Amino acid sequence: MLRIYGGRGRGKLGYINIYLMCSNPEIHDPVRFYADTGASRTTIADRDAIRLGLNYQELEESERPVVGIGCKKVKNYFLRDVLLVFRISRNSYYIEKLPTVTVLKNEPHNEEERRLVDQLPSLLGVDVLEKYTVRFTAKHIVLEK
Amino acid sequence: MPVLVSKQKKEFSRFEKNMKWFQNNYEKLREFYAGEYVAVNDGKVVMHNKDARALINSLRDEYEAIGAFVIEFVSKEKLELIL
Repeated sequence: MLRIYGGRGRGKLGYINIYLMCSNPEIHDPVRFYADTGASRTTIADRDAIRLGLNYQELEESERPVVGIGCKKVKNYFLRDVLLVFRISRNSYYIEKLPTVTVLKNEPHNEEERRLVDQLPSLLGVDVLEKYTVRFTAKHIVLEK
Repeated sequence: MPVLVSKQKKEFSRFEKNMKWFQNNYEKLREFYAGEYVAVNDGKVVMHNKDARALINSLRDEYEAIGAFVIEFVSKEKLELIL
């Protein structure tokens, strides 16, 4: 059985460190994703988009806005043909290929909103999680298949 | 399927270590950096700022590569996330 272990972060939410790879635009960086069965797609949050050096003008914009728990429509863009590299042991990795990953671009109206937006994490959505059984231990989240 | 090259494996390992350090030291970090973003690398806070974007820009100016750095918010309050 394949097992991927992650940690428990803020609010005991489960997160998984993933090495993200994409060829256009070129990305090869680790990102922390929170597992979220309420997110239909795997999503890169605004702050991680900046950290990865993404330029929204070079990305394909989605025609459909996304709506989250804040009930606001949010502009979003696509990364195509993305590889998510999971560590499964010290020297072995498992790769999930996703045709699209969503990149969020919130448009905060003031500093306070921007500070909140910048706290939002990237999300590992149902497009990946549906392939696994997800369980929690006291210190870990475990994806199994 | 491509595999990570050596440089990427090292970067991934450093990121994981930095994340673990951040999680393990979160309560201590709150004493000094509450309400700020911190950049963690090699078991220490290398930079901090109230503005995440300013912090990332300063890190880019200072360091050649920031892929292994963990950049996280240290909350004053124990906020709950409902995603």
